[in-house]
Amino acid sequence: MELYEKILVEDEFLETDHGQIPCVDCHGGNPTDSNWETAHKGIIKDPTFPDASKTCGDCHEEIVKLGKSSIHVTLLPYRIIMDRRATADESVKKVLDIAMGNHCMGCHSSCGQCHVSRPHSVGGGFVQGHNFMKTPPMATNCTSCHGSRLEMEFTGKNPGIPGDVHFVKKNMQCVSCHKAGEMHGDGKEYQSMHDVANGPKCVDCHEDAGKAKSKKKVHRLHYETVSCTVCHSLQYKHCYGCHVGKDSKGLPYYQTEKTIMDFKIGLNPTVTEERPYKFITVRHVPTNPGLFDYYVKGGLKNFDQVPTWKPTTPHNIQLKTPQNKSCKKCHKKKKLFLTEEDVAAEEREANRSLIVPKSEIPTQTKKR
Amino acid sequence: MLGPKGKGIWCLWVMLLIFLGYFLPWGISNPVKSQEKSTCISCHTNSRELIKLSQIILKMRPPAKSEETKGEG
Repeated sequence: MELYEKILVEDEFLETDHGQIPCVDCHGGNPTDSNWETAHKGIIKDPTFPDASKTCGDCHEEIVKLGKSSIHVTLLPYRIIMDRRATADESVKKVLDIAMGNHCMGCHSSCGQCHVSRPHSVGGGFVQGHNFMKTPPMATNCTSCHGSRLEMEFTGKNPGIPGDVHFVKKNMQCVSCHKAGEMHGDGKEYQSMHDVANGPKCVDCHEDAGKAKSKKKVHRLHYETVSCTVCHSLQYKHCYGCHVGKDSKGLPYYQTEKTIMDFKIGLNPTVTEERPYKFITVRHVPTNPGLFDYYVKGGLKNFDQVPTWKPTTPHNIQLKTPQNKSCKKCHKKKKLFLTEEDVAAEEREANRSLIVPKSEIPTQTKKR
Repeated sequence: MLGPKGKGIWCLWVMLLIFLGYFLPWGISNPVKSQEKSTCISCHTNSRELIKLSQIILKMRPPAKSEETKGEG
């Protein structure tokens, strides 16, 4: 996208309700100055971040009030995880904050970066000439950030692995499941995206699958012990290692190590009423103890406090998968489960709660 | 034929229409009209102008992303 396209306002926008608001009210600057350089002095590119109270909040007060707690805005889980991994030394923590500011905290969103322009972290730019879009388009505003893993899985871009049946056959978009209530936040500061209320559940649509009296025997047997994705997803992406730094021009960079496709069933580290399953799908995330070594050696002294394998919902759902063809395709199949051998020695302690002991791998089918 | 009361109502309607026709388009501030004076709008709706300016900006601005970034984020 060319730079001029990013900032070209469509005439059509001026006819809309939002187009009636003088530019200066939200963006500042000097609208009477004909010199573009001085006219842009003090300009606010995204008047909705970090606080949209004085812009969107004038009319959409309730959404803005609740939205301040949205994970898309706060990135709270990142902060919590890094805080747990960091050394207790306050001076080192300050350095880590700078490092995170340079490399991690730019990947946020805001009202404007979903409903007007592409997120800044992926280059920004109006999606529809500054028109406000009630529903953010998937390609420009969801998968532009959630691309490496979710988009590739959902749309079938991983070689040899079909896309999600909800997209391929039903053309469902992200917003078909992830509704505004979940995206906008509800005022609570969630520590993990898995805790967010109003998140989608398969049983919202596939009601029968989650019942003790399901019509299907396989659902009756597994509905509380195995998450839906264990049976209905295919191989998905695992990323390893990440190092950050600044190049000779002072620009921040990151370098991740290997990326592999695999399918792994782990133990559910946090069994809740919402997620009662014993077994869930798990994914390795791109991190390692030397992540911030460029800034400070040994900053993540307590790296083992947080697992590097995470509960995940692969977005390549299928009715039929290799592991659900028959009981024997999963039971006794050690390679499907996250065992000690799958986890690097230096990461084993961190992942203890997800690693499946050999004795726990289902060996036989029990008649009920 | 209109009676004195009917004539009065008719006159009132005519006066109201004249009032609305005269004052509404000019009297109430119209943000679109005010935006027409804004250099923001005149420039940001002019693709030719923006192409020229963006070429200048690109020369002034350092590259946004490091070439050392590798792998999937």
